[in-house]
Amino acid sequence: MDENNLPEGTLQLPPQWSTLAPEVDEMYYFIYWVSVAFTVVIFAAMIYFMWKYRRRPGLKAKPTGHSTALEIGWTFAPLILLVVLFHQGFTGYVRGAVAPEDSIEVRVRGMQWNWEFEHRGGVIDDLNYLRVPVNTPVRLIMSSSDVLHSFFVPAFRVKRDVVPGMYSTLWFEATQETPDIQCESDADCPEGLWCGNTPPGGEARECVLPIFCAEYCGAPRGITASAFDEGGRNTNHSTMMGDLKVITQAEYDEFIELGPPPPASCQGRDDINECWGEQIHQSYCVACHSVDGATQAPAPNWKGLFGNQRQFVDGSSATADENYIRQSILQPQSQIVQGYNNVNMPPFRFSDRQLDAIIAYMRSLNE
Amino acid sequence: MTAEVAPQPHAHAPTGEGYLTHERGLKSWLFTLDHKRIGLMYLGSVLLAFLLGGIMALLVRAELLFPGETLMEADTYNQVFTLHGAIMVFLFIIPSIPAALGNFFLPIMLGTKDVAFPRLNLGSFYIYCLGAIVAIVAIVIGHVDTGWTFYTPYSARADSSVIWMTSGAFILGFSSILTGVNFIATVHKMRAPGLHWKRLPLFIWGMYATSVIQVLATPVLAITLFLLMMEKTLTVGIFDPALGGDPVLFQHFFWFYSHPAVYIMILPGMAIVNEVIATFSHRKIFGYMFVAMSSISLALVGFLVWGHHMFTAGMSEYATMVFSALTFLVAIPSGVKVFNWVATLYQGSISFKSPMLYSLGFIALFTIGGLTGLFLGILSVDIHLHDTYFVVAHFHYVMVGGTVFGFVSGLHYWWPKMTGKMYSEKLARVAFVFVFVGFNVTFFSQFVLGSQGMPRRYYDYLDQFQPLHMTSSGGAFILGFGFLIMLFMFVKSLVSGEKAPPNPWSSAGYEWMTTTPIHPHNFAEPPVMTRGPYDYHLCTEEELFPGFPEDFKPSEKAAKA
Amino acid sequence: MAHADHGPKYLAHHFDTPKQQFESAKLGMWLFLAQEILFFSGLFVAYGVFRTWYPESFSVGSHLLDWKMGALNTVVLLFSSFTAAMAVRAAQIGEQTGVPEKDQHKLGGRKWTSIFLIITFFCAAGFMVVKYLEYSHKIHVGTLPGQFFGHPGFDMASVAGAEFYEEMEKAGALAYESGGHATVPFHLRTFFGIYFVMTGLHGIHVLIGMGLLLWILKRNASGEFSAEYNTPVDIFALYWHLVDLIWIFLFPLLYLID
Ligand code: HEA
Ligand code: HEA
Ligand code: HEC
Ligand code: CUA
Ligand SMILES: [Cu+2]
Repeated sequence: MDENNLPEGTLQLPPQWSTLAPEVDEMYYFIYWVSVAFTVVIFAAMIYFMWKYRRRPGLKAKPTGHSTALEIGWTFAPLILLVVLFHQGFTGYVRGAVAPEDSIEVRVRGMQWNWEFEHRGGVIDDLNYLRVPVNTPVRLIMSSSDVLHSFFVPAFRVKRDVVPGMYSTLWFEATQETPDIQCESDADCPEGLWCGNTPPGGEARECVLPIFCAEYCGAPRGITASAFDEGGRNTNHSTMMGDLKVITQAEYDEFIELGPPPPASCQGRDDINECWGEQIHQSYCVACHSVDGATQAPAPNWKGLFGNQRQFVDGSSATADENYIRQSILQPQSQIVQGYNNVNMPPFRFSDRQLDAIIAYMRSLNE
Repeated sequence: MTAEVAPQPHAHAPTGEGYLTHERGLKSWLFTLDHKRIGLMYLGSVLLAFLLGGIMALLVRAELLFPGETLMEADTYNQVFTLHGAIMVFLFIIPSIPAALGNFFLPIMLGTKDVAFPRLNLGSFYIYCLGAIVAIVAIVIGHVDTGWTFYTPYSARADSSVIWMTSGAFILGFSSILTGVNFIATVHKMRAPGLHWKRLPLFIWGMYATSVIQVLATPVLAITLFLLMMEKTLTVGIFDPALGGDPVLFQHFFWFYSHPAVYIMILPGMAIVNEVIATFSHRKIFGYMFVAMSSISLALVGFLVWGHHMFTAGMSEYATMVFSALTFLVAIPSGVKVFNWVATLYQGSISFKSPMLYSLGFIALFTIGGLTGLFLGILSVDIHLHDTYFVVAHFHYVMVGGTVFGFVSGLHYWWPKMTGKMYSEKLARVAFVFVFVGFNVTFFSQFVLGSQGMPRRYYDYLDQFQPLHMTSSGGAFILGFGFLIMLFMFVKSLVSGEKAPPNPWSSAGYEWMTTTPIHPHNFAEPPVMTRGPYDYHLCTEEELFPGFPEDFKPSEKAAKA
Repeated sequence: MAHADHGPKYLAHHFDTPKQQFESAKLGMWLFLAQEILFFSGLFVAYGVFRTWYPESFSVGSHLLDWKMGALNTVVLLFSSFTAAMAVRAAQIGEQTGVPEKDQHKLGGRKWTSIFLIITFFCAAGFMVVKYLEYSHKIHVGTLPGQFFGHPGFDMASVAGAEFYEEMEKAGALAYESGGHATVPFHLRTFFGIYFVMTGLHGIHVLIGMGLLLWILKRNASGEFSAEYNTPVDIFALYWHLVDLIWIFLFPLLYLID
């Protein structure tokens, strides 16, 4: 990706990264120049009169006359302008509201304070990470599990509230891939990008487009959460940020087929699956499952789990083989292990490759 | 104008004592039915609220100097901006001009002794106090972090002190409604002989339009907050989606009040600007009837546009379209006002005393604030700008640059009449420079922040926004310093100000025709209005410059000021 | 300004004439009533929205209300509005001094004002008693708003709780699933949310009206009102008619949906 070819913003607006952006910006600059014109004329007249008719000896105010023509003029002349403004803005809006037929769809779930993205075929990407193909209309179908959120990508000029109890939708078509740049801080990134969330496992960060949550959704009480440190991210409304990565169609197709790729730090290693599995555990499972065989945790310990005989609350039993593990992750409520019926494990959706990685990791714990 | 024509009692030296001193003691204040004293008590209260809200604002700005945690936790920050917004809106800006200055001057400008229902007036004041206390209890005991908009379902699930806060706003609402009822009845029934509608001071027209909105819109806020409280206590399931309610319905209800409420805020500011521009240009406002009617039409059209706060919330395309179209309509009457003010300056005799500076500031800043409102009214542009700092900048331009400037302008303008003391014009101008410059630095940078995509209600932000945030915070401290000078200037005036002449700005307005200090019944003799309040050409030198030291008269030295 | 020769005692010092005072009061009251109407309008809008969304729950809900009680209350309130109007008339006629007993206006004067006000008061109290009966029944069987619906603890999936079950049975609110489980429409709780908020708020207005009645009654008894001055009675009646009017809307909307 050629870095020198990236779109640039203006003093007022961020770079244009979607097909919608140029239109919105045109509207923006239109009203901007209209406003400048009005402001200049009004201010100029004011200042001129203020100077010319400043109170001084010998100057007496003239009694106010009236001019109905003038009044009618400045009542109705702006109306014409306003009709134009409205019309333009509305057509732009309608275009933004109706997604093209051939859009691909992505499910978005907002929750305090994370974004979850589910792609075609149930592929769930890493939390707060959205990949979309370039030059393809993408339609987001959004819902919230708690309070209002709002999905906002400045570079796309799109925003839509995410409302509990209903679906809201939004679409965009990205016009540029995001460059592959690793970064330490926002300063390392080209205009309009930020140095994204720390990926699971503390990988190097990369420059991506920011997704903001624009609807106020609160903060946890009494927790000091310095937001932009590792792990401290996404602790409140102002850090409910997602990474948006625009990739090629080929890359996207591969992603849909294989799910999210293994983290960079595991790539090229012999134990790539075990490494990846460990990272998944770290990001999603560690809260309930420990792996050392000792620590008391709300869920079964993973050490020695694989291949073991499991007893369930309904009296049946099974051997913990690959299929069993897979089912336990995708449909945790299907069989409840004895002694663990007071905590509910949420269902997770992983790609096959991720499931393989988890299983490989579990097996490695037995060695 | 001939000699037998009232109003003219100032020609005589004040007989008896003014309203401030004719009765003494705490009780004579707490139980007073005199609209002037009630107005002053309101004035003290709203200034206190402004100080409190201002301190919160400075805390917000201090936190935003740097990204990350600088001063407080995210949770604390959320409470601080919520209280800033809620205090400024419910405790300060809505009662500021109507209940304080309006209460004081509306009956005087109507040439009557009091408002129609003085006891109700005092009642409103105590309801205000009760509401303020309840709101402050919410702050002290609890944890109000919903934003001033109380959006559900967040507010329905948040801390129970939100109930206190909403009860506070609910009670304050009734204070506002009763003031509105009182003013409308007063304007209709209590005008002095000769004061027909076409002579009504534009301040009164503005107050009247404001009152109409107060009476018709505020009850909807009251019922909304009531339902929210019911939601929190009885879980009636009207707004909470978990129980089958609709969170967006709350937004419709809320904005059905709160959009008209922005005209409750701005119309009184405009009303004051009318008076000040006329007085300091020595000229009747150009297009008087158009200006008066624009207030009324703002009040009415204002009821139809609430949906423009919800363009991204998931309304039907049809509804969005209608709301956007109607939003543009409100620009028309606002424009009529701006154009007529500018036209009034033409061929006037303009004096740049501090009240006039603030009013001229109002015109400039309101124009900017209003035009940026149009950005937000354009559907496709609002999608990008909604809930960013652009909106924050927009509403501070209209509320601070507009209403607060108008309020401060009125405060300077009427200060000599209210207190009987002059203030230091020099200090007032110094304060003006700080306030004007500080204000623009604070909020202009926020326009850029917002259009660049900085969302509002953010405790933390991307590094790229830091320079502008820092500029904005710097401006806020300049602004705060300006208000401090002003506070000092007013206190100094109370302590050691010169005695004010009855008509220090040589105005033709009715309120200047009474004595200073004001007679407890406003006018020693009930006045009969024989000319309009802006008919400078009908006024004698005598009338415009009563009791002026010779060198104070404009024909001589005043021109130098 | 001289205070002494200002006018009759009831004329407040800031008014010039009794007429001005009366008109101001009347206008003020009308404005207040406009405010009241907008206050309730929010509830009617919410009602409209939810009724369109959940017509089934609303129709079942109205069967769970006792229309006879509602109708009784409607009659009681209508009658009280009539007596309030009669009280105004009686106050306006006032005491006719110097007119022989038999030529006096019928039902006029201070005594009759009091009598009509008292009847109004008892109607209002009767209304509240009926409301009390209705409310306590609902609290008893558990037809309550939101999370209290069916009393927390009742197993809603199988509609346990004998009285609640019976109540639902009576109203035909139960639907049987294949497994034999009985369920009730989910949004009944919303219906009762709205029912309690609307009638509760209206009830508070009745209570306030009763307070005002006592106060007016006391002032009437002390002879404050006359044919010349009876504004408080008049504007109280305006208020009372509004309270009545709101009920006239509430009754069919809540009790008589189909
Ligand atoms: C005093 C208060 C006040 C006033 C007067 C206004 C005035 C206006 N406001 Fe503003 N507004 C607020 C207070 C106010 N507003 C607040 C508090 C919020 C945010 C609330 C929150 O979310 O917390 C808000 C938010 C807000 C939004 C929602 C933004 C969003 O959240 O996405 C919109 C959208 O349309 C809007 C529009 C307007 C318009 C069109 C006007 C018009 O009335 C302005 C009209 C004036 C002019 C246009 C200037 C003068 C006219 C001319 C010089 C004539 C010629 C001009 C032309 C014809 C082009 N406002
Ligand atoms: C009237 C309304 C009003 C006023 C006057 C102000 C005044 C100010 N506001 Fe605010 N503001 C709001 C209404 C108002 N605001 C609202 C409604 C919100 C939205 C809240 C929400 O999102 O829920 C908001 C939000 C808001 C934000 C956004 C917070 C966020 O989204 O995270 C910011 C940030 O900069 C801010 C800053 C300021 C500043 C610096 C001032 C300064 O102008 C303040 C300067 C004043 C002082 C420093 C006080 C000094 C006073 C004295 C010394 C005594 C005075 C005595 C005499 C003059 C006699 N305000
Ligand atoms: C909220 C806590 C929680 C989280 C988070 C969680 N689990 Fe579980 N998990 C449980 C509980 C409780 C059980 C035991 C009850 C059961 O079998 O459903 C369990 C059981 C399992 C089992 C079957 C274990 C056995 O003893 O047979 C597997 C496999 C498993 N989890 C995998 C995972 C994976 C992989 C993740 C992360 C991607 C994960 N869990 C996250 C709570 C959790
Ligand atoms: Cu999610 Cu703000
Ligand atoms: Cu608005």
